[in-house]
Amino acid sequence: MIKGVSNNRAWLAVVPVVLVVAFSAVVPLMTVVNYSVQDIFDVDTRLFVGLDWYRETLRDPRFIDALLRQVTFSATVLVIEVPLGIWIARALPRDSRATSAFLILLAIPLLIPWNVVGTIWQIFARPDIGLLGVSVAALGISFNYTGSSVDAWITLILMDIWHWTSLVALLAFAGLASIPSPCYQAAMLDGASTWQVFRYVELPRLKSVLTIAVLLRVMDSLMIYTEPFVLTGGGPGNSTTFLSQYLTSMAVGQFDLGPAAAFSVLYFLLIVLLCWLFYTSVMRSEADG
Amino acid sequence: MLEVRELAFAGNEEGVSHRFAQGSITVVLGRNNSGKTWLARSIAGLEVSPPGTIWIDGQDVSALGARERKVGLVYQAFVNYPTLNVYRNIASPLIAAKRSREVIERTVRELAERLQIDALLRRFPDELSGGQQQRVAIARALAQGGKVLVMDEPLVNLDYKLREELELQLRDLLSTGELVVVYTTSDPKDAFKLGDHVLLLDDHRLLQSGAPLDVYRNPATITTADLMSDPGVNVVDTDTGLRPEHITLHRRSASDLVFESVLVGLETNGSESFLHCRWSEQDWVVKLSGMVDIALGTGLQLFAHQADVLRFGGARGGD
Repeated sequence: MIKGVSNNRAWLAVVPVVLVVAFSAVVPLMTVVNYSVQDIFDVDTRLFVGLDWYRETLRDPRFIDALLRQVTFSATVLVIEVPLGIWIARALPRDSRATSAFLILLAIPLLIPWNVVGTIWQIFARPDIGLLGVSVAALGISFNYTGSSVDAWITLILMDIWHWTSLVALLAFAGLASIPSPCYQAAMLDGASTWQVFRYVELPRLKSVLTIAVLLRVMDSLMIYTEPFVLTGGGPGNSTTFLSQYLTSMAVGQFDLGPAAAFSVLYFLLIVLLCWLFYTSVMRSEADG
Repeated sequence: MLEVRELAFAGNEEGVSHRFAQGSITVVLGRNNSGKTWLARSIAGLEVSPPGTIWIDGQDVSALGARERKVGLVYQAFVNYPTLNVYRNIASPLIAAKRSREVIERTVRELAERLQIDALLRRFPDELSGGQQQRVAIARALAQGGKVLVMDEPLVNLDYKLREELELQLRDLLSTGELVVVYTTSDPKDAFKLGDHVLLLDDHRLLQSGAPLDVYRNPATITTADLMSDPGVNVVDTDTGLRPEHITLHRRSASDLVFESVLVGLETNGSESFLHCRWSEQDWVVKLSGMVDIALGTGLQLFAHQADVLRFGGARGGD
C-alpha cells in the first residue's frame, strides 16, 4: 500500500483559492438557496416551506410578464445590434489615420457609467426639452415615453443599441483586422460578390469573436437594470419592468425574502441555461463544419 | 501570351519589360524586396495602376481591374474558403461566373484529377495537409479559365520533403501548352527545376533574363551571377568571379589558375562540403562533393579552369 501523507499536503496549496471562491461565490449563492426554501418572518422565526416559493414564482403572472418582456427585449436588441455592429465594423476604414479616431468615437458609449446613460437618454428623449423628443414632436409625431408604453420601448431599445452596438462593432473590427489580405484578394480574383466575400471569407473567420460578442450581449441584456430604472422606472405601468427590476421591488421594496430568493435562483438558472444553449449550439455547428 | 512593357516601380525610371511565352514557365528570381511580389501583383491587377502596360493575348489589360483580367494567383499562404469543401472551393470562380452545372462538374473533376486531389473533394481545407491545401488553391486559380497563372513563392510554407515532391510535379501539371506561368522564388534551384525562362530582379529592376542555363553560364553582372548561385559567387576582382562548384583542391590541367588560400571554416551535410577560405582579403566558398577532413588554418591551393571564370560587363544574355 502506498502512503499518501506527503500528497495530502498539496491540498494546502489550493486552500486560499477554495476559500476565496467559497466566500465570493458559493456561500452567497447557498445563502440565497437557503432563503428560497424558507418562509422568514424575522431573524428567529422561519419556516421550511420546500419548493413552495418556486411554485408560486412560476405561477406569478407578473413574473411571467416580466420574463416575456425580458426575452422580447433581449431578442430585439440582439437581432439589431449584432448585424449593425458587423456592418459598422466592415464600413470602418482600415489602416488609415481616421481608424483610431473612429475607434475612440465607438468606444465612448462603452465608457459611460450605466446610470449616466439612462440619464442622458431620459433628457435626450424628453418631449419638452430633449433634442430627440423635441425633434420628433416637431415632425408632428406625438412621442412621450413616460405616457406611452410603445414609446418607452422604442426609447429603451434605441438607448440599448446606442450603448452596446459599439461592443459588437469593436469585437468584429478586431476579428476583421486579423484576416490576411490574400484571402480578400483571392476572393476578388475569383470574382466573388460583396455578399460572397462576407459569407465565405469574413464570416467563417469572425465566428469566434462573434460568439463572444453574442454571449456578452445575451448575458448583459438579460441582466439589464440600471438604464430602464433611470429612464422609465419600469413604467408606464409595468410595461418596461424587466426581471431584475421586478426582483428588486420584491426583495428590497416588499422584503419578501423567500420568494425573492426563489426568483433569484430561477433568474440565475435562466441566464446560465440560455448561454449554455447558445454556446453548445455554436460549438456543435463548428464540429459539423 | 503575356507581356509587360516598361512596368516601373514607384521612384524607378527604368521599367521592367518582358515577353512571357505561351506554354512556358518563367521563374522570377530575386531576393526579398527585389520586386517579385510587386511584379506578381501588378500582373494580377492588384497594384494600384503602376506606370507601364500589361498585355494578355495582344490586348492591353492595364486598365482592367483584377476581377476582369482572369489572372490566377497562388499565394505563399494557403488561401482557401474554410467553410467550403474542396469541390466547392475549386468551383467557386465558376459559380461566381454563373457557369452551367455540367461545365462546373466537368472542370472541377478535371482539375482535381490533374492536381491529384480527386479523392479529397468532400473534405474541408483544414482537414488537408499544407501541400494538399496548396493544390486546391492552384486548382481554384486554374478554374478561372484564364491563360495566365501567377504563383508567388507558392511552396515556401511547405516542409522540405513536400516542397521537393510538389516541385517535381508542378512542371508536368502546368505545362498544358496554352498556360503562361509566372513563378516567383528566391531559390536558384527552382529556376533550373521549373523554369523554361528565368527573370532576375533586383531593386524592382530587370537584371537579366533568358534560359536558366544561359544565364548561369553568362551572367551579365556579379549580382546576377550571385542570384543564380547557391552559395554566392566568389569575387576575384571587380569584373571576374568564380562559382563555388568550379573550384577544386587538385590541378586538372596545366593551364589551371592557382589561388593560395587559408581554410577558415568548414560545413558539411554528408553529401556536400562547403569550405570557407580566405584568399587575398576575400571570403570564398568552395563546394566539394562528399566529406572533407581538413584542419582549420591549413593553407590550401585552390584550382580553377580558365574557362570557368565568369567575366562580367559582357552583353546581357538573350531571351
